[in-house]
Amino acid sequence: MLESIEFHNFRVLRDTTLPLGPCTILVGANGTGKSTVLQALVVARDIVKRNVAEASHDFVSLASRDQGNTIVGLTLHWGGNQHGDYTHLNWDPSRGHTEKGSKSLKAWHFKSFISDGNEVRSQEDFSYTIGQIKLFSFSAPAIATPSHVQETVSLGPDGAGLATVLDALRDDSPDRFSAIEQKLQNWLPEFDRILFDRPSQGVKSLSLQRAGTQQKVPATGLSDGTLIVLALLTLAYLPEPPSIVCLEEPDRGIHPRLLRCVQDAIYRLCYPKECGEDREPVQVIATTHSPYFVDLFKDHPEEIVVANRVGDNVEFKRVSEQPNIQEILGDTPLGEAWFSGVLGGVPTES
Amino acid sequence: MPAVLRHLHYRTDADALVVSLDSDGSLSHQPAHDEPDGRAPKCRLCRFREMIDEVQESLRPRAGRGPIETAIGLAVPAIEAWCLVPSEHRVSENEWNLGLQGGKPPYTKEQLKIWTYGMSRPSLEEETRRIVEWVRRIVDEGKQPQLEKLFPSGFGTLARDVRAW
Ligand SMILES: [Zn+2]
Repeated sequence: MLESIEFHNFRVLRDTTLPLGPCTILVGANGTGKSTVLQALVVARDIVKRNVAEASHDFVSLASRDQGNTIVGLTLHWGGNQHGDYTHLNWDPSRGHTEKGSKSLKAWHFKSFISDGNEVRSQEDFSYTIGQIKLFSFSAPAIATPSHVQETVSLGPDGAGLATVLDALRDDSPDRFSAIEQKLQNWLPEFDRILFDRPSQGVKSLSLQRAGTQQKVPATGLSDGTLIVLALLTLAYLPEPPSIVCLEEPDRGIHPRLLRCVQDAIYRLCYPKECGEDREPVQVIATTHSPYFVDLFKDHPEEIVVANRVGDNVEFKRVSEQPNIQEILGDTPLGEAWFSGVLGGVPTES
Repeated sequence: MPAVLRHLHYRTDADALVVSLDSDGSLSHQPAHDEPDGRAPKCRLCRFREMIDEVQESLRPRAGRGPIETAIGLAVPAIEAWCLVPSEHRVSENEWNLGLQGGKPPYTKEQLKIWTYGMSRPSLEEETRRIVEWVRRIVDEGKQPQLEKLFPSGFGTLARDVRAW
């Protein structure tokens, strides 16, 4: 598990450390680097995989703007022993500073070290875990778009391909597919079945059946919240989910009453044994702007990390580590306390 | 909650409202709080009653109906403690208050969740399913008197409210 990430001159994250747990929910004003954190992990993945073709970002643009030739770096601190102590990724501006694409990617180096500072000979464990990092920023139109049946079935970063992923689950893991349908009935009782169509050769689309009727509602006719809940549920029930999942505002478009479903899906990923799943836990890092969503973590304030702008830097702090936090919170719901500003992480004038 | 009470009063034919609160780390409700002028501002149950009284006083009478009856309980530290009455775990107001006085609560909310649900982060469905099971067990095993005995202030006051309707 990643215990923390150090950032150096990484866009707005000039010199800061983000503490992480099995589940981390990041809150903060706009421009405090929450999305940058998630992108940084994707960058780490693409560097480790030397994945220029799929890399959606310009590696050179990741540096804080006025840093000139300063080294840009990320240090991923691993818990436990199996991964050694840390993986350091840095960008040497003397190589590829003005070039984009593969050359600037080559200017990035990564090495993993064990606790005595020695470089780890086999990078495979680190590379495997980092290479599995996935960022999801679900978009209802992408989820609803019919997907092409491909050899590799996977959920796209925006939720594209959901129809083929669910269809494969129905064939390969019928129990999981039934569990998703059951959850769907609990959370969205107006629907009771997930159905598939083949609008053209090699293309799959999905629809939901209205409960107690034969009426099919195509994905394009479903609400944004319904589609995003379905994508989150599917992610939570995958037999082999990614090792680290980054979720950009998973609560977006979802009714406040359904936010508990989002939390349950996240906890299913993070704490599989509690749900009877026999697999490794997934580490989840999510961002949110919803006080209602934050409220749900009142019994686990260590899972909420607040991002605060301090000068030209950003500081991250777990709510549970704020001074006198229990006395300050009293009866106040966690989300309300955050909204009020007493926990930080709200827009300020400077 | 004031809006819920006003909604029930003006828009529904509800006869009563029952609410159970979790105390978390706050003060337990005490028998002395039930005495005239005994309400404690630091007690969640007393504060809740104060709010109910204020709302009730502001409501216009309903045609042909009296005010909505209310019954309020305060579970220390959380409602899971009540559910565990039929179990072998030592849960009671006395245990909790003695622990707090000694500076070390006898159990945490997380521990109660693990005892009640078998896990610390149950899904809403699992939470609902298990809590209904526990309540059914309390009824089937005739443990209501024990529930009232072990939680005389927080549950006892709710039971007395209901009996007074
Ligand atoms: Zn009281």
